[in-house]
Amino acid sequence: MVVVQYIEFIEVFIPLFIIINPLAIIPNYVDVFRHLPKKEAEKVSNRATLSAFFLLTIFILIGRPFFAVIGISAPSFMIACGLLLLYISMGMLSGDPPITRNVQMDSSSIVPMSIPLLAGPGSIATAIVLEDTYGSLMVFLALALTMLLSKILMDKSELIEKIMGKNGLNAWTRLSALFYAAIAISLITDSIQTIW
Amino acid sequence: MIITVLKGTFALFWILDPLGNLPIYISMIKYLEEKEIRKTLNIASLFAFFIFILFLFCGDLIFDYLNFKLEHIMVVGGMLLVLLGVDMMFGPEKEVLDYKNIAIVPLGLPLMSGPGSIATLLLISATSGIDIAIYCMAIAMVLQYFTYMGAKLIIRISGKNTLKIMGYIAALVAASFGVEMISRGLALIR
Repeated sequence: MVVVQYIEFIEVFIPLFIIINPLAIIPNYVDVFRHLPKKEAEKVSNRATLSAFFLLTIFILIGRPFFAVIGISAPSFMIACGLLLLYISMGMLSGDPPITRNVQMDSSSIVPMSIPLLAGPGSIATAIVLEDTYGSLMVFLALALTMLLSKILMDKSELIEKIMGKNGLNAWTRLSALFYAAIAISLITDSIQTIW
Repeated sequence: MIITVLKGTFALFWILDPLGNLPIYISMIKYLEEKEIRKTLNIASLFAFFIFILFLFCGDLIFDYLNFKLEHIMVVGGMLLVLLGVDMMFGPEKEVLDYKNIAIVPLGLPLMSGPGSIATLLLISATSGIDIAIYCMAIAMVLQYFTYMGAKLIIRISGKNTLKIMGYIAALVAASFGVEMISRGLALIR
């Protein structure tokens, strides 16, 4: 019984970790917050991960009823998330991610560190899909672990950049862009099959 | 007759759904001055009114001679909304949102007068007469106008980060509405 739950947890955690992808935001984080004192930088990472966690939790809890009330069916929402994710992944593949293109990095703001980098359209859609199959408790636990890991990775970002190298991080970004694109396509096609 | 008008107004208001559109609307107007907001709303309402009158009186003519149907407009409106959602999520924050740019599209059409509401209006006009349809439309438009006017209060009481989160959710809502409209339109065409 415990083993089953353990395996289920892994099955929820890995897709969430891949789609939230804290490793891919490390280059941004290092660039902006290198100049801040350590305490300030930790404040930023705390706020980013906590607000992303709360936003995703809110979406898991009341996302479906909210969209039902304003007249959007779940497949339409999934397709929209898939389209936005596809747009993001195309930008990442060509080396010009749309998420950070037009925003100013600002340590007092939750944009873009928390949304849409940590809690993007892909994370929201994936969390809702996982909640459907595995129940909300599993998703909450996996989400909490992911955010905790993200916080640790962000705090140790300079070390990680040293280990993986600029090229290593860049390669990881391109690779995860490919994963994103595939996840986006699967979200879109699954939902189209549900509608038709 | 009053009951028919009330029923029609309710149906129309339900389809127009200004409350559901509020997040989209708020994130579009949050940088505008008070005066510009009023101007934007006036232009958008007039345009929506014009669209309703146009389809109420010449709907059949348009559909017959130009050889398209309401479903096709629905798909186009959906595509506009998807593009709007992408723009709201990734576009430059202030430049897109000049009031001249948002008043007619996307605020006037497809938010304040969408294909869904046009279809509802044509249905009312076909079942209970064109005069009833005009009354319903006028009342629903006034209600919608005041709902949107009230949205300023929400902007005033929310902070910077709240508005940003709202804008993000609004982008998701806009894109989802777009997909919903496209899929409904395609289902009708099929």
